[in-house]
Amino acid sequence: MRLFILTILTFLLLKVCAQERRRMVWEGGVAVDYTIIKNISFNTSLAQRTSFLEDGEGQFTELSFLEFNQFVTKKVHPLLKLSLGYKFRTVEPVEDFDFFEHRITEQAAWTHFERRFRLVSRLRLEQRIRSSTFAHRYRYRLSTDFPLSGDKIDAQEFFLVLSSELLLEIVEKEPNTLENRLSGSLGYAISEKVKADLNFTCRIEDINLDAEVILFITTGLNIKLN
Amino acid sequence: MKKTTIIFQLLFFVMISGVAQEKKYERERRVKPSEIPFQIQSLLQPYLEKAHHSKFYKETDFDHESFEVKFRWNKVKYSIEFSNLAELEDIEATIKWADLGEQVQSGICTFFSQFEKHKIDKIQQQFSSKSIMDKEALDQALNDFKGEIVRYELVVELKEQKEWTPYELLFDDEGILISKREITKRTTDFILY
Repeated sequence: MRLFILTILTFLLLKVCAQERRRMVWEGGVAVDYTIIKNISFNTSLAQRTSFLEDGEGQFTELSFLEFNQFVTKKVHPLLKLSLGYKFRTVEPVEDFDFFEHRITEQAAWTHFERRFRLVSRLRLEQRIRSSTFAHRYRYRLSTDFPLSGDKIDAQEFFLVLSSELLLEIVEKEPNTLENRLSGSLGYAISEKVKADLNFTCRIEDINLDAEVILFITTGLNIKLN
Repeated sequence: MKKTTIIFQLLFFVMISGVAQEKKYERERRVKPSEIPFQIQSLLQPYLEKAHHSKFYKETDFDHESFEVKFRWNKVKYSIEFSNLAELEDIEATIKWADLGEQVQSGICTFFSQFEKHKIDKIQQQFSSKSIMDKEALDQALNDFKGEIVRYELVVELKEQKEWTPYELLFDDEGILISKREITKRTTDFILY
């Protein structure tokens, strides 16, 4: 299994490197999860994105944005969680026509089964407001996570998260775009309440137009307060 | 600024890892059959030859070590726990609601009737025998589905006052509740956001 996942990640990396116009993105973030009322949890995170670009003129690095996320999640059934989220992103220098971004998210997550392997479907509706555009985004993600040793994720143990997400973006007066995000994360439970992860995501953007593959590398730290 | 961010993150990771190293946690890791005590290997050998999907685990809880062997026998999932001295501690079989006897079902339903709703995640039948040899206890549990003491452990979610709470419940062989313990389920952060 580990060899299979490593092969997939290597393949994705090679596929991206084979592109004429390469773009690799690193996102780093810290998230805090806390419960205030029973069955209602909050998730606050801060993240940044840095792009590493290479074209005919050479390589360059840019800070794409800083973002703040706030989610509130209600467990309405042992298998169903509903969330409402807000995201704020600062200037995106890469795209000089966008100066800010607000994003409102409505989300439903359904757990299909939960044993050693857990399989979860996530449906997201997003309204993305930028200074120049307004977009509706519809996202569906199927993901699984499982420990790499034993039946449960104990402290000081590794785990894997694999997912595939389809994203449809609708912007007025612009062609609709379809995107697929294939992702693999290697996580490490530093303690019972602190988890770190290294994620590789292969984004195949504009599938219906002129497809572009972008590799995202994300490092994250999740802290559970209670 | 980017260099500062990277250095800050690396430092943060190292700091947290350092803190975590100081504390010992309960860990379950899969081991090779040869890594479990010989007494356990020889006790289970006749069953493992016919069993499917055998897996061996070593559990470390602070300074205490124990061993667990999981396999499928006659299409039933078994988990057998041993102490670090290779003594048989517990035999558990994962079963379905329909496998429970009528009396046990009735007792559990009576308990559930106190709550608005319930959802069963897992049912395990536990066999333990104190006065007979380990081999005899294994034979009884695996071949006859019997034991000196039979209990049922249920992992459930119960809804009371409009809120769901996960519990681990233990019932005796007449369906009477022995213990009720609130449990914490696996975190969903990575899956949700």
